[in-house]
Amino acid sequence: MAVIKYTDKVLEHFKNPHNVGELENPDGAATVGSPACGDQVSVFLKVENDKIQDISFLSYGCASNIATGSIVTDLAKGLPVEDAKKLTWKDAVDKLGGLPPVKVHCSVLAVDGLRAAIQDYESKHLGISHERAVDESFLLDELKKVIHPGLGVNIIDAKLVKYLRFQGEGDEKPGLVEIEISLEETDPYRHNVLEEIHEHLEAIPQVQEIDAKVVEY
Amino acid sequence: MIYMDHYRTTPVSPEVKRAMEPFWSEQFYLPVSFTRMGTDTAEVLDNAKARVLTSLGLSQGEVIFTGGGTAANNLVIHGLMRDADLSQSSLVSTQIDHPSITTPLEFYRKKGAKVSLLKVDGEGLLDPDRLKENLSPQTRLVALTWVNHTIGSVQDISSLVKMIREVDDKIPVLLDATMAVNSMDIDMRDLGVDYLTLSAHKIYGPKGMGAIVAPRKGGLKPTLFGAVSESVYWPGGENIPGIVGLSVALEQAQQRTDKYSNHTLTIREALMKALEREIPDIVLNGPRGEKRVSDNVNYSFRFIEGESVMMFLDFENIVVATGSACASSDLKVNYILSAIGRDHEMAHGSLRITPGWSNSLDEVEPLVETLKPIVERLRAQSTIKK
Repeated sequence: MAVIKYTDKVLEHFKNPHNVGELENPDGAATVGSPACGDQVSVFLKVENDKIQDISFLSYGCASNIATGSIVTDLAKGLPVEDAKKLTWKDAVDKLGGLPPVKVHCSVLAVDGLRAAIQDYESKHLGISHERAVDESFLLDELKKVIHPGLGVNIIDAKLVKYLRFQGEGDEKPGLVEIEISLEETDPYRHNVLEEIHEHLEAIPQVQEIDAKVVEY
Repeated sequence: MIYMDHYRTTPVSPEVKRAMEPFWSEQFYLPVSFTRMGTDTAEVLDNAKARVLTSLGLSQGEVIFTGGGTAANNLVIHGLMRDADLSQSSLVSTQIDHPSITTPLEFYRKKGAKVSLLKVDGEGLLDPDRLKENLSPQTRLVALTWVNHTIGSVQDISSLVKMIREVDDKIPVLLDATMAVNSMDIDMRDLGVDYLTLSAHKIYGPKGMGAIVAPRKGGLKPTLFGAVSESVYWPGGENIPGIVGLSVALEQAQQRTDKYSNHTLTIREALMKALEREIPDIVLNGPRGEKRVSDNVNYSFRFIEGESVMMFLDFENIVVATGSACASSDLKVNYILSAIGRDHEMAHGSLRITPGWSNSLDEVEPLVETLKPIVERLRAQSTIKK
């Protein structure tokens, strides 16, 4: 059995996280994740001259959740907003010297929190709308946020999603997502992956019903 | 270091270690018939079996040594079900039983058996009437656990078994006594169960050793096959040091259950009192008082996640366990805490603190004093506010 261990860098940021707290009158703010899935992050932003002048976060979650919140806010601080948008979870993981595969989803959440806070800023202050049509390509992008904890890779890149169909307006069952995912019976994360798929899809208002089938190839 | 994770595992006691010592390199032979070395070992094996039976109040019966408590539960379940017509079989246990019981049962559910994992109340206790309603002429097994391994609830086994016997004397009853051996005086003549299982490493014995104890021989079908040795149920070379270790650990535990209960109860009560006094917004998981085993404390700390708490305590050399999904190997939310009605947040924020022989009352204050600022700090940085 693989021993799950954090790097010294992760422990350092867990013990003494940077940028913790809530900013007063933030220009952008967002909360992503949920206590139900075990982790939740809030990100607060102050923007001046298109640069992230100040940033902070709150975390309900494990050590990697706290450490990734700390490192992502460190990375974003002082960056032009346009550059901050391009930060990826890989940047965060690299900066931490790696994360155990089972914890990679925490870094995805932290980056997601940053992006959502930036979107909040853009829609409030710049009037930019981020609404995207909900279709299959949108859902595939959402599912890229679901990391298989054993592989440390999202389920789309890991080619685990074998079939996806979304029924839109005018279809027989509008709002129905049908998805087939390949997971072995011996996969200890089977349950977790399915739960994460449900959580991500259920958060989309246009999704009314999810029919997720596990297939073994 | 303050070690309060005895429900995970215990250190091997010096007496057990001493008893095992000769069987590693000196008297290492297997119980081979017609040889002096072999018959000496056979005698050691017989003595170990007798020690197990006597410790549990039996003068005769069957002892099957296995590779742990999980293997013991599996061997009973598969041994009863091997040749059963699954479409005519009903298996009964509870929602909060150990995975070594619930997972094999789920396996038979998929294969077509009727499996009832019964609801327990908010304290983790099974209502005898609920059990009664779920018994039928097709019941092939009732599997019960005496002391829950997460929340320390103690089932009223004698009433439950008495009720089962009133309904049908033939229903096989499996009792997992793993977490009860340290603190409960066990007399299998009174218990009335068909199979009792236990694990050595929870009672200051070696890891990888378990046993099934049955007052009557037979009943189980073999499910592992190979060169038949001491037991038809566990073929292959006998783990003599392990068998000796388990038997001595069991004997020792049963000789001092009163002392153990008093010792751990004093610590449990002091710990619960101090935690409830010092840290707000905590919720006890499992019962209070006599329905709770003496050596288990489990609280949910609201608004925070348990892996973080566990790690901060670990930095301060304090070892406890958490029910958080983040810290579990499969990221699943703790099913026992869910079964007693705790939501995900409460389950993630739970700590299981299990004192044992190595602890003293003096450790309660430093533990609580260390824990308090950790909880305060994590709450201050949490997204969830009161």
